[in-house]
Amino acid sequence: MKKLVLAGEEFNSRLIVGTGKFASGEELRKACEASGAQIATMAVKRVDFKAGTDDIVKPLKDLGIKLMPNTSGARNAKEAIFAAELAREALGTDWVKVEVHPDQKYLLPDPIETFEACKVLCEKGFKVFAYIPADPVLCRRLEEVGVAAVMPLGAPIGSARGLETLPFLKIIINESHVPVIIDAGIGAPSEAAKAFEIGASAVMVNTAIAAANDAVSMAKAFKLACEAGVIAYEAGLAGIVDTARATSPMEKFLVEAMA
Amino acid sequence: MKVIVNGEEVETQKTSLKELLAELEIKAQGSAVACNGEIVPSSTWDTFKLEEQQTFDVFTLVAGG
Repeated sequence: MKKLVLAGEEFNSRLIVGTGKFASGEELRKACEASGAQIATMAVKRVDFKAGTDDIVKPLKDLGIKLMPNTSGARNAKEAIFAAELAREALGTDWVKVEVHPDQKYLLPDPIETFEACKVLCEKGFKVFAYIPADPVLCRRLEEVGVAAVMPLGAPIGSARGLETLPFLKIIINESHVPVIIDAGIGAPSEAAKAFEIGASAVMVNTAIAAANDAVSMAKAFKLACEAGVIAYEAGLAGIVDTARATSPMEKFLVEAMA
Repeated sequence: MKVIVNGEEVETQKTSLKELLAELEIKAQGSAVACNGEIVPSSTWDTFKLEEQQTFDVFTLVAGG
């Protein structure tokens, strides 16, 4: 399988995992390991001194996983830029997944604020991964300002509705000059495989793994499905036609023998 | 002196931000601090002097997708 190259770094795995919603830190660690993922996302939050917070950075770093902080919770470009700078300070990474979703019901990304944040962060030297609606024109505009990759959504975050934006994802993949990471909405391993079959560079999965009855086994299922999808894409699908294509010899011997 | 950390008033005898954060068991790795909305790089925590009623926000990385 061809390696994934993001912001100049090479990865064998094309599955990026989100770290939210796992039942425990230990389940998260095991699921990340089973997924074979080499990149995981995390969020920036104010410390709650009363509740205390688990250190999830170290266990993931120990697995050799690259951490991609996100700007989740940002309602506009200004907040996203602040979150990115906090994450850079906390983790020492210039990678950032820009998410701006002011609407809490569908968590759909705000394309205008996202674009503004991405533009500024690219100028500040960040490696920007833009979580966006599946809009090919927005992708082109983001490419122009220098994002490292676009992350169009398949369906709303956590909805498990799959690749509802499929026709637009295909356009984005065909037209993009930066990696296309399909993010959000993937609910089943088969949908991850489908994303690769249409030529996606990577997929990002969180809820489908974390909310499964057995998160660790589901992580493994996604690993295998992603690999199958990538191999299938590289092998070249036979293509869809309207009529039948015979798979057995269609000679006349049966007809002649019975004549 | 009294400073505000994440919305809570904190009484401290410390004089530098580094000492205050150590008191609050905040590690430089995985944390970021802003004072009055401006990020204070961890490399300057030891020289950053505390002042009465300063407002700090301390951030960390948490699980998220």
